[in-house]
Amino acid sequence: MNCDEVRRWLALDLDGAAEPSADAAAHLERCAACRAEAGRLRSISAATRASLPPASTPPDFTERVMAHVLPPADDALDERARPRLRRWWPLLVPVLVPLLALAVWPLLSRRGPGAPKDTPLAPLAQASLGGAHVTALGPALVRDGELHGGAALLESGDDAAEIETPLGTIRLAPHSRGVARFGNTKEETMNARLAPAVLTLTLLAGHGSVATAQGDADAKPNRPVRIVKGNPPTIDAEALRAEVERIRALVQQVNEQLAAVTKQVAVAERTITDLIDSDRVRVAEDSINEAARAQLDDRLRLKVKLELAKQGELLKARDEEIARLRAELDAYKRRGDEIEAVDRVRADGEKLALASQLERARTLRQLIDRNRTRMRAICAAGGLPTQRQIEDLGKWYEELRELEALAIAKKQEDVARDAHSSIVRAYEYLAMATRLRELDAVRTYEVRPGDTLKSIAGARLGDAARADEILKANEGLDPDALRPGQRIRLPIAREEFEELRMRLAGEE
Amino acid sequence: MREDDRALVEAVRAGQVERFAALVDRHAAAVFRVVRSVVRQEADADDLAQEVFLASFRALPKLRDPSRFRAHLLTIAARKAADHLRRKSRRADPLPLTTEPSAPPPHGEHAADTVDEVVEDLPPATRLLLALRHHEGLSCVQIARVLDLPEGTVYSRLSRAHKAIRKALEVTDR
Repeated sequence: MNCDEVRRWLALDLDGAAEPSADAAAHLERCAACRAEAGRLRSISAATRASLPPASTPPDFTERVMAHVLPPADDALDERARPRLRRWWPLLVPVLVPLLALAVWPLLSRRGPGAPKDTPLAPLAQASLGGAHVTALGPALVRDGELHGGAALLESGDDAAEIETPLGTIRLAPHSRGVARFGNTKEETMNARLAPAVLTLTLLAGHGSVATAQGDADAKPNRPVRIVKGNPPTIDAEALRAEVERIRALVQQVNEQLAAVTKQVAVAERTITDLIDSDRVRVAEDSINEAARAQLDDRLRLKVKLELAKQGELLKARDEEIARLRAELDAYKRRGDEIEAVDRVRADGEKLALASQLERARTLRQLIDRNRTRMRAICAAGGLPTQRQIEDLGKWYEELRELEALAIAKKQEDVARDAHSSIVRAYEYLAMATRLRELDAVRTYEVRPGDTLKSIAGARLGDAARADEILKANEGLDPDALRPGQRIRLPIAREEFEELRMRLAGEE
Repeated sequence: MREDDRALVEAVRAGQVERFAALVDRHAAAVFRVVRSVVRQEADADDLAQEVFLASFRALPKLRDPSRFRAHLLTIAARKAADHLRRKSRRADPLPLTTEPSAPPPHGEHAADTVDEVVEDLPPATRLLLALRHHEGLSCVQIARVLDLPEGTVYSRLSRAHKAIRKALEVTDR
């Protein structure tokens, strides 16, 4: 390969149309100039790569693709897991409830674990204490096994019961009941230790007898309460229930009153605070306003002064700006005259270029037509278009394409239309001539030493029996006197070949 | 690399669908390069790239040679890109002589275009050819087969683009 051939090979290689070539590689080893060209072409490839838009893969792209690809995983999981859950979650209840209670307990008890344990009893809540059954009638409190609560109904069963209270022990005979009242609120009950007189204990002994215990003002803790026996009227269960109801209503009433009073106190406190605050605010506002007014006067005076000074400067600056703009305007006028002159020259140049392009397009058309006439003559005489003719046509075709592209870019429709019709024509001739030569190459066989008609038919037509057809296609061929180098016509694509040649030889 | 693709494709075919994510990770950049050469809008490119991967996923069972997954994927990407162009051009005016060039360059400055500008001004179809040629290293014949175009067309478009780029390079160097 020489330099020209290697350059052509390199250009083809850039376009991705070259076959690998050891020759070219060897030439590039030797020739520095061609190596430099190869480098330039590589830089074209690199520059193209750099100029194409970059691959910017969004960070969540894979997840989004997979979201379409994967089956909807969540639903599938739910379907499988739900029945199992339904079956075993009730088993958790006995575990969870005590846990929940443990978690909530410190919040309810208000005291640390070391302090006495309070069990508040809501009205009508029941508890068991010292062998007696206790029913709270109002809010009651049990602390460390002692009854501190407000009002409670105490009932003993088959055995006697002993209920500890801060004031002392209440003893109940078997099958008896009593109502113990300490006070209405928790606070009062807590104070019961200090004010035992609050305690009124009414005991209903076993067979309807009533015992009333009155706490002593100076009673000591853990001392039995004196029980004063009296003459009890018979009290039936109905009356007892009425008494319970009455006490409960009383407790509730007092509780409501207390809540109302607490609310009133809160409102009053808020009102007082508001009044005090608003007064303070008014005083503060007054003094601020006064200070602000003084400051405002000063600031206004200063501002007027500043404004005057600024206006003076602005006026000066504006005068300067006007002078500068005038100078610039003059400069632009001069520049405008120059540009106009240049434009005139350029327009003339473009007219000239257009004329020369038109001229060139016409010349190319004439060349193509002349080429075509020669081709027609050759084909009419039974020959084939020459390689040179095909190359010329290709060259002109390329040149016309460039002319056309240029004309389109510059919106010169005349030139573009002219070039386009020539392009169509050149392409048609080029295609026919190239195909004709290809067909000819396929149809011709050069005899090699040792060939027989049969071996040729076997090799090229795929069937040794078709030797007869070869004989028929070559008039006057002596099958026994084949010479190496002799050219033989093969019966392949004859119709297409002849038709093409006719078309090339004939008029359009 | 090849071998890995083969293993992944076979795993996905055997039902480990989640392994497809590795294939997406590995080849997303190449697909985006091809797609972005014809689609300017990032959101459109994103949609198109997703389509490419979903199509390749659906076609996995039919893939004859699992080690050629990348070639298969790029073929789909190139075809989708070409389809996208065809859809767009059908909406545009088909007569090149009457369409306005997007920004007519002032006369005389034309020769000073940079490579970036030249590539930017090329028809998107040609940019696609350039991307396949220079990013993916496909030959004329391979590109023609992938896009189902005559080889001569691919060659002449590439050759003209290269000439323009070379001219821009030489002007810039000077």
